[in-house]
Amino acid sequence: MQKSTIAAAAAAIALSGSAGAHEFACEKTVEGEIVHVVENYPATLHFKVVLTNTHPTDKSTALAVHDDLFARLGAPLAPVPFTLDVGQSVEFSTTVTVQNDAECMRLSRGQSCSRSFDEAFQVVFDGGVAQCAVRVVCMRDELAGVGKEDRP
Amino acid sequence: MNRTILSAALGLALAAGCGRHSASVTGAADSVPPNENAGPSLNLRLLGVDRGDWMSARMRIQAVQVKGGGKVLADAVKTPEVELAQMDQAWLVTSFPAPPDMDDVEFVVSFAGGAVANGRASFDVDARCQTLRIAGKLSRAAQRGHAVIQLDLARSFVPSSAGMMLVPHFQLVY
Repeated sequence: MQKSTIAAAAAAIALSGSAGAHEFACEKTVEGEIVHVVENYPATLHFKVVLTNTHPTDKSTALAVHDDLFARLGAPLAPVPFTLDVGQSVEFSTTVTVQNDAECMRLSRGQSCSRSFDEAFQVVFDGGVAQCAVRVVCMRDELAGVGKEDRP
Repeated sequence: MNRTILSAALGLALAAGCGRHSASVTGAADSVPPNENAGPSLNLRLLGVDRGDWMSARMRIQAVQVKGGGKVLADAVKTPEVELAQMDQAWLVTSFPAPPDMDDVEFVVSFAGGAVANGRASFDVDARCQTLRIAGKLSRAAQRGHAVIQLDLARSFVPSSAGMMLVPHFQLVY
């Protein structure tokens, strides 16, 4: 066997990952954005998660999925385990309306910081964990309705 | 001769293959005080992936914890500042023991702040509120001696009217 062949075989194995590997990618948005600033109340927030099997050749199985906000709002995620075919995606979504900044901040359940909070979605699979997240910034009520040009 | 070369090459390839990351694993010193009762020492590393437009992404690690069985297994930050745009470098965050009777752990990493730069400007990163909390498996980390957090730079640093924010998008791989 030529050295070049050996090197190619080794490189292929190095790049291929473990046999039967699972791979996921996720995208989460709120109102179509990763960072969303709530400037006016009441505000309706649409949260969406798209989970995709990104393995080039194999199915991928999700062993667990977590999203605290979805759980608090009673929005169901898929029962686990579940399996996605190559390139297949599954979508989860939920909507909530907040009447004021206090309600907006309460969505964070105490993990707020600097008038903003992160909401993360995690999928656990055999090869590890993938996380995507959004950040919501809850502006104060007294700024709501004030034109941007008038703000300090 | 050829078999020897092949075996060595495949061995190296397998050692580098799982988890689809092949960055260098240098960084701060890897040494950990030996504790024979605590099992082997494993490493938690941080690697930037998908740089996007960022030419630099320096982040300051404020704290780290590896928790399992109601105990803190490790909390020493080994590399306080990392350049995540150096994508061939998996920075050592901390080292932790792997007790033989434990599998489920939690990795917790928080940032003090940072700065990112593209070819046109640089920005301070608001990372005050960021804490990565990731469930891990010691059995999987033990297979290659580490768990690696792959932070997606293109998606994790987000400009907004409120400033440049860290919104962590990552994968944990072993």
